[in-house]
Amino acid sequence: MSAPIVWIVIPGAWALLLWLLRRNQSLCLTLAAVMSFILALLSVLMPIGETVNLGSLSFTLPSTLPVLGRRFVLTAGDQMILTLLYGLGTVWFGLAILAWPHRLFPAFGLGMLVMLVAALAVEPFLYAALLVETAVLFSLPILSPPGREVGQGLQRYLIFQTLAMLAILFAGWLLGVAEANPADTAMFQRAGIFLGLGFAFWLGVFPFYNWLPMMVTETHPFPAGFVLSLLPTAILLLGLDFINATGFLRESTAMFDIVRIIGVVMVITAGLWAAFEVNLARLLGYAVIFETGFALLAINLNSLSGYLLFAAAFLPRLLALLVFAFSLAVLENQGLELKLTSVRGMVRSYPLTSLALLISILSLGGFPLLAGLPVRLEIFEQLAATSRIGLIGAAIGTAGFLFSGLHLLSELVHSNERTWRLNEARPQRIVLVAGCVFLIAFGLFPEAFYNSILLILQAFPQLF
Amino acid sequence: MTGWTNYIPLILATIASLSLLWTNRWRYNIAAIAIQYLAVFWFVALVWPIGLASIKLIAGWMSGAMLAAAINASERPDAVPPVLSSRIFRVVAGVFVLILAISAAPLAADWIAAPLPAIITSLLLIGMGLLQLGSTNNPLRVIIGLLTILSGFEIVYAAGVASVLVTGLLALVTLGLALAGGYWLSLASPGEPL
Repeated sequence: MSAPIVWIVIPGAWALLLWLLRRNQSLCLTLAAVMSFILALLSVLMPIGETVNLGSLSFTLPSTLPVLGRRFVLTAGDQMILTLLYGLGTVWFGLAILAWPHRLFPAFGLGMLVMLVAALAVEPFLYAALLVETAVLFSLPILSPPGREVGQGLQRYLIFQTLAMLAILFAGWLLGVAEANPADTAMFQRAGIFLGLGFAFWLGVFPFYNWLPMMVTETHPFPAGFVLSLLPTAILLLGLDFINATGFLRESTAMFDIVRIIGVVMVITAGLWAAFEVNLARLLGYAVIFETGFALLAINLNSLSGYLLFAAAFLPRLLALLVFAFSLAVLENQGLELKLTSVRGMVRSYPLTSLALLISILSLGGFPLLAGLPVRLEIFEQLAATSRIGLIGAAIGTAGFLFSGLHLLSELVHSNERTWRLNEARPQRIVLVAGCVFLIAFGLFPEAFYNSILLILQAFPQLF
Repeated sequence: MTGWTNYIPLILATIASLSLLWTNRWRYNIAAIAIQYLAVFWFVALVWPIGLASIKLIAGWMSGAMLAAAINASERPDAVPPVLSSRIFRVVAGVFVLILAISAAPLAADWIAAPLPAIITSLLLIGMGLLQLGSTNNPLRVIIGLLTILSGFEIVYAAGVASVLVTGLLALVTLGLALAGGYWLSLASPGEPL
């Protein structure tokens, strides 16, 4: 028994079992949530590579699993990443019972999660591209469940993710050639170009992001939120792993300059498009682009503080996206159109959903006292020291995104009705209120939440 | 298998990929995919053991078979064939891709250690796949386009990386794409998918 068996093979087999049991949706979702929770808990409690004494029983969990001449490695440094990913799984599978109890979600969702963990564990890392592609293939039945036609956004999602795989594989090969002959700097440059292209396709980086808002409108917001929370998180971590493992990337100032420019352009465009967006589902897509832009801005700092900000941003981002997607799911399940005109005056009929929607969008925009603000402020401060133009661009994008929140507020409260009704189901109310409370608590007491997530950086010791 | 014989799969791949642009009759399309994977197998067998190279052929043909089965099950008749002008436009664009592949191949040969016909075929298939993706929003054609790109990529990649795990995972991705295509087709059918 090794760590990859515990966190990859067993949940993989579990996903298969869930597929066999798929007719019983609630049971499957519960089992998926329980498995994710157990794995998250184990990643906190069970040290990898150290001897554990349980009474008379003593054992060590090895970190490596060899497969066909290659290795899957999960070290003690990866444990916080495992906690984050399986914790994410726990919450999404748990809430799916209230938001989107679809029979395909537990099996394929867990399968996707497992593939992403495998991608983070595989060595050499170029194999990760194939595993991420497999994760993307697992996500397709979730995003296009029976009863929904396959739209262009989903097709483009698959196209870009597949092209990303090819670019990363090719980059990995070129990198191998370049490392065999370090004097050939041109080969390093070619590898860098393909690597950049691969990550641009993967993350939906400017100008390859048009599929993102399109895809969200073509599917239910809850599975879209799940995929768009999980995939960019894993890929950003993978990107950090690439930088950590590749010396020439860490020392390349040109790469970090490009990352900054792309990050700023993503923040500006997503913010401005969001400001004029009238479709709430598309707004979720822009939120993901906006957040990816800020993640790139944190990476571009290429310093300890930058990487700390990168790690610290995970929790508020993931929580806000969860609350956003859950609120949209509540509305979608009621048969409401996810447009600004359709939610006019909704604060009277769906007050908690309206509140959660508003708080999540404002938190993503970095509104004062909400979860997104502390990290956002710090990034602004760092940008002020390194790139004034970048700072202005990020400020414009942020203003645009906040404007979309205020626009939503004006529509929500625009009502002639006098009576208040709570149309949300009781469990949904609890989730929505809890989401809002957490988003506010994060903003008020950031240090209480950030300290643990910073341990993610233990997996990337070369960065600082 | 050296010298001029290597141009045989290049010609086969050219005909197959152009036919994918010319017609949307699914039987011809599946046959074209099968021929493309035959060309891939030919070139991969130049640098890999036959046993390992045959995985590409089997995976490619299986993916074609899966798509064919899914099309049959979806009870979809052949889509209305595109008008002649559209076909001519696509084939002319395909010929441009061929010219581009032939022109760019010597440049690529400087840093990819593979026979020139293999590089031309690879670039041709990648280009044709991109052309297909750019000219359709039909899920089946998107999957065929992706398989075309992937098959082109596998030719050059085999020249550099001969790993059993990569081969297995690439075969898995090929089959996964075909499965995704089959699943997408089944969404529109009266039966229940999955």
